[in-house]
Amino acid sequence: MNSDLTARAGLRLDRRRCSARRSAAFTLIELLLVVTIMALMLSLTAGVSQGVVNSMNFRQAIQNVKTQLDTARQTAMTKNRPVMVRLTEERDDLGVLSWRGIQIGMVEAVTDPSASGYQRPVPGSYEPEFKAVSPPERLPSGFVFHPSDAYSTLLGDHSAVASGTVTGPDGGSRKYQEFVFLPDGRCALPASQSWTLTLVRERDVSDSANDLPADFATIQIDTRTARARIYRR
Amino acid sequence: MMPPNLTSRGPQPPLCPHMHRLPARGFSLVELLTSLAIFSIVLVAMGEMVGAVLNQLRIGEARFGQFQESQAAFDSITRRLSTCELNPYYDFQYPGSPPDTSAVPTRYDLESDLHFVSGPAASGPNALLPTGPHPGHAIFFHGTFGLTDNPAWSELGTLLNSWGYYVEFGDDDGQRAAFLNAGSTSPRRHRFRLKELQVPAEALRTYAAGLNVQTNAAGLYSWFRMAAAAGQSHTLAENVVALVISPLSPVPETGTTEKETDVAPDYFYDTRAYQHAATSSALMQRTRHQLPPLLRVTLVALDEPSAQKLAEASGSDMPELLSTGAFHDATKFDADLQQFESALTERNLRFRTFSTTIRLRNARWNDLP
Repeated sequence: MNSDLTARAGLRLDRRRCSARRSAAFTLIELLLVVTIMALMLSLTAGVSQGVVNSMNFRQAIQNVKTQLDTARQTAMTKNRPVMVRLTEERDDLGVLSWRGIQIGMVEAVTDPSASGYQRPVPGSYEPEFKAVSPPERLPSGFVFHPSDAYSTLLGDHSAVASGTVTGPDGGSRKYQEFVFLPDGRCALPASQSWTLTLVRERDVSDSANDLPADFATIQIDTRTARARIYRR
Repeated sequence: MMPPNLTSRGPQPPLCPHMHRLPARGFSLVELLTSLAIFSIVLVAMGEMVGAVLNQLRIGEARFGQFQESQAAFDSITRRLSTCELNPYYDFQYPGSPPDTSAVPTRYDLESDLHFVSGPAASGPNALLPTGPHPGHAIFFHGTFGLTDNPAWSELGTLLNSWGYYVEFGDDDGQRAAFLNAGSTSPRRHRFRLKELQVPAEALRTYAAGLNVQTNAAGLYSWFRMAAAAGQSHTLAENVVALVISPLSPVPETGTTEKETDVAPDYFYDTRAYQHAATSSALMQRTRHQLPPLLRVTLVALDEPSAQKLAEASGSDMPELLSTGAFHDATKFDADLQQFESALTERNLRFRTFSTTIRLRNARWNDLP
C-alpha cells in the first residue's frame, strides 16, 4: 500500500514536470472549499431573491386590490349603474378565516313574482340580490386586510358600509362588508372621514392585533372622486 | 487521499516523454477558482440584467397606471364641463349704478344668477386663486350634479353645485388618513395634483354672495375662493403639472381677421367681467352671461417615477416647470405647449399631453350686440 502511494506520487511529480503546473486531481479540502464558496454564494442569492419574491408578492397583492377598485369605478361609470364592492372573509389553505377576498358586483332585483329568488319588497327587510360581475379576487397567500377599524375603516362598523354574511363554498358562513361606487364617479361613503383598507402579512397581524406592522400598504379611497391611492412605507 | 506537497522535490526525472498526449488530470484549485470567478461575474451580470428588466417593468407599470388615472380624470373633466349651466335670461337694464329700478329701463340685456369663470390661476391681473401654489389655469362653474352630503336630499339628482378644476402643488397630509401622518409611517408626497372643487348643494355660496351687486373681484370670486379654502377640493389625479383652458368661438373660415381665441385672448373668460371692468368693454359685452361655445382643455401629466425624481430634486418647493410668460397669450398656445413639452423632455421627465375641445351643451352663443 505504502509503495503504491509512493509510486503514484512519483507519477504526479513526473507529470508536474511536463506541464509546469500541478496536475493532481483536487483534494477533499479544495473540493470542500469550492463547495463552501458556492453554497455561500447560492445562499446569498437565495436570500436576495426571497426578498424580491416577497416584495413582488406584496406589490401584486396591492395592485390586485387597486385594480378591482378601479374596475368598479370604471364599470359604474360606463354602465351608468351603481357597482358594489364586497370585501369578504376567505379561508386560506390551512382553513383559517380572514379578510382576504374582494369582489365586485351589481344589484340585481328580481321583479317577476314567479321567478326564483323573488323577494316581496317589505320595507326594512328587502335586500336586492348581489350579482357578481367577476369571480372573487383573493389576496396572494400570506396577505390579509388588517381587521382593525383603525387601519381599515372599510372593515369597521359604519352605517355607510353594509355588512352581512354569505355562505361560502364549504357551507360555512362568512362575513362581508360592502360599499358602493356611483355612476357619477363617486363613492356612496360620507366624506367626513377617510376610508382606508390596509394590507399586511398575515403573520404580522397575529403578532400584534391592534398595531400597524412595519411593512404595510394602505389603500385610501377618496370618496368624492372614487380614486384609490396607495400609501406604502 | 493525501494533500499535495507543494514544496516536495523529488528526484529529477528526465524530460517528459509524453508531452504530445496530454494526460488526463483534475483541475487545479486556481483553475477552479478562476472558473468560479467567471461564473460569479456572469451571475452578477445576469442579476443586473434581471434587475434592469424589473425596473423597466416597474416604470412601465407606473406609467400605464399614471396615465390611466390622468385619462380618467380628463374624461371626468370633459363630462362635467360639457353640462355646465349658466341659465341666462333677458331682463330690463336700468340706468344708474346701483341700478335705479324706478327709472325707465334703457334696454334689454342678458342676466344670470350663476357665474362661469376661467383663466390663469395665480398669475396675471385677473388671478382666480391669487394665494397658493397654483400653476396653469383654473376654471369654476356651476352644474346640476346633484351632489349633497345631506342624506335626506340624496335622491335629488339635479341639485345645483358649484364646481371647479385647478392644479395645486403640495403634500397630501390633509387628505390622507391620520395614522399615515403619525411619525414617519409614510413619506410625505410633494406632488402636483389636479384638484376638483366640489361644493355640495347645502354649502353652495353662489346665491349668498349676492353676485349681481358685486363690483370687484374679491366679491365676485368669493364663492369659489372660500370653498377652495374650506377644503372642498379633492384630488382627481396626481402628477398633473399643467391645466390649460382656452375658451374658443368658431369663426368663419374665410374673409375675416378674427381668430377663434378672440373671446379670451389672454385665456381669461368671465361672464361677469363687465361688473368689475376686467377686460376690454367690447369683450365684456360679448361675454356677458354667455358660456363660451367651445373649450379647449389641455392636461399635461407626468408619470410617477418622473414625479418622484422631481420631488427628490426640489423637495417641498414647487419646481418651476412653467416659464413665467407661458400660457398667457391664447394665440401662442401651440408654441407655448411645444416649449413646455421640450422643457419637460430636457429635464428628462416622461409625460403625456391630453387635449380636447369640448362643446358646452348649454352655450347659446350669439354675437349680436
